[in-house]
Amino acid sequence: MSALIELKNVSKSYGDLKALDAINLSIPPGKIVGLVGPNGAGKTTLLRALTGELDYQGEAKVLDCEPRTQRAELMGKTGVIHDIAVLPSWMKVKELLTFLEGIHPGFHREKAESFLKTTTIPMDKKIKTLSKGMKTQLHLAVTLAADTKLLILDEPTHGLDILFRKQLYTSVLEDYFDEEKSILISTHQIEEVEHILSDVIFINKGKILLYASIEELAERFTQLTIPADQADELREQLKPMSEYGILGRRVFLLENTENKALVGLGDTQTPSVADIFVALMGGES
Amino acid sequence: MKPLIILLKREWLEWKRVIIGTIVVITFLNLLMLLSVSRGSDFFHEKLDQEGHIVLDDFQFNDEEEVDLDIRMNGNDVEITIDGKDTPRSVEQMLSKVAVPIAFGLRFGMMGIFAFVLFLSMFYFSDAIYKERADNSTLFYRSLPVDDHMLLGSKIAAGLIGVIGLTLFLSLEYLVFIRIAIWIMGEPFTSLASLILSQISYLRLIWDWFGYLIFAAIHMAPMALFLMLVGTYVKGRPLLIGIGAPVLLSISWAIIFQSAALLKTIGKFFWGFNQVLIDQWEIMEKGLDTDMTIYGNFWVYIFNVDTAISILVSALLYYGTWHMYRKNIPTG
Repeated sequence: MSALIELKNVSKSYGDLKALDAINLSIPPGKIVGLVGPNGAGKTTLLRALTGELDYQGEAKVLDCEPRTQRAELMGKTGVIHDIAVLPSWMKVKELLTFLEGIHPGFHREKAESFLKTTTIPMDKKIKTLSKGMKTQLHLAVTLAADTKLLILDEPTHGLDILFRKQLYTSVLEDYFDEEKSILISTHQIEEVEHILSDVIFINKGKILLYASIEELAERFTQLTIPADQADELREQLKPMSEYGILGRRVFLLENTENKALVGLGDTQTPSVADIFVALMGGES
Repeated sequence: MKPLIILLKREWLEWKRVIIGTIVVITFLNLLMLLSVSRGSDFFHEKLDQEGHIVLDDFQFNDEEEVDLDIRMNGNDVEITIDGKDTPRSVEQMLSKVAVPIAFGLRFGMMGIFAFVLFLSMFYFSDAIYKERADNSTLFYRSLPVDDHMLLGSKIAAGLIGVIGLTLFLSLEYLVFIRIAIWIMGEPFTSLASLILSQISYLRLIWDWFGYLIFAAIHMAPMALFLMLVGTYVKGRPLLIGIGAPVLLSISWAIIFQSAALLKTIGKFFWGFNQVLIDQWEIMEKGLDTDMTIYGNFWVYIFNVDTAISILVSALLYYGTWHMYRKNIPTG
């Protein structure tokens, strides 16, 4: 099976600023991939390049489509939710459903209506009168109601409260994802999504720092918690990527260290994606 | 084809309040016309009842000297005599002359409607993309399986259909109101005006008017696309900038280079369609003795160099609009 997303030397500059710097990436289908990076790392630029919303240099294929020249075809197979409210504010909710029913061959109105019935979104109200949470719910409802193979979520929970956030990811998992579909989620709130990810991409300054599956991360990185008085000695020996103190103990994050070598030194565990991200970003800075 | 129809429906949904509002305003103006006609009619009928005749002082036929028009009513017969002329005129001669101000009234009303719709269309074209940028919905529309050219084309098509369709609809409404006004006027005016209006082929009138609207649309397309282009770029007030910037540039040019060439060129280009109308009016007025046609045949004007220039300029502006639209520059 061909790659879901295939990028070769994809670059994008805004004047002197390199938003994407010769990115090479190959993502197979059937994954939930987290695109993680700090603000200004290039996440949104990368997603917009993937959806043909902006021009770029290099070669890109998404679902066998070239995003710049085959955007319309690509969008028939891809759902996108942005970090800001993008639904036409003057439309009523039911007008939006009618519009999408006519314009999107894969859109199922009944599916969207059934999703909306579980919310408090009124059908005859204009979108501009809805709260931010409702707008996101509505966008999610109409996006999930379309037959697509790839779902791209760009900071989808931006500005939403914890209840909406939980509900959003639950809906994505329950109502959308299966082995034939893929999801690409951009976020800088990694702890929110790491439990649902199969793969993760770390991006900073327009460059891909790391692309690995969650299993690979667990094999590659280890967290070691040791008594503070042993820190100096073990720091020399283990050369941790990063460390921090907690309740009088030191926590080391180690890369490519065999677990056998750590026996008896302290408590070992798999670090969170967020800890690995922070460690890598620390190295970057 | 289906996506285009759906996108046109979207434009209708978004702008229907403006369209319905325009129809309400024009209908209200037509009703005001009926009211003033009714009051004028009452005045003339009272005079006719009291004096047996009405004299329209200083009535001017076309460019001829002013005369007094004396209208008398004997039962159902209407007698009209013209004072101030040695040779009495035949009724046919006189009707053909009276037809000129009626034709002018019809033209003036329909041109007024067109000018009003054209004025509103400037808001449409300047806001067509700007409003999408302002509420970020460009990102939504571009996340749909629809080509950019289809998205932009639907906006241009909606604008053209809106301007031409609304003008034709309101023109027809105006003609209906004119007929009602003539009916309200009562005898002898109703018979007199009906005699003149019966010489008009309404089908021909609308067809000629449609030809003119197509011609005008082609010549106004560069301005419409220029406003759309401005709407893809500016941070705010697209109409003000779209109109103000070229005017300011032209005035600056005139002052700095002491030449009004740019101002004249822009003016000549955009008002070229107006000159066609004036030319046709002059031709028609010369020929009104034999043929009662309100507008001439504008279709012949479509195939000329100005049209080719308009289409070329429009194509360039469209390319610029498409290029900028894809950039989706945020508004202020």
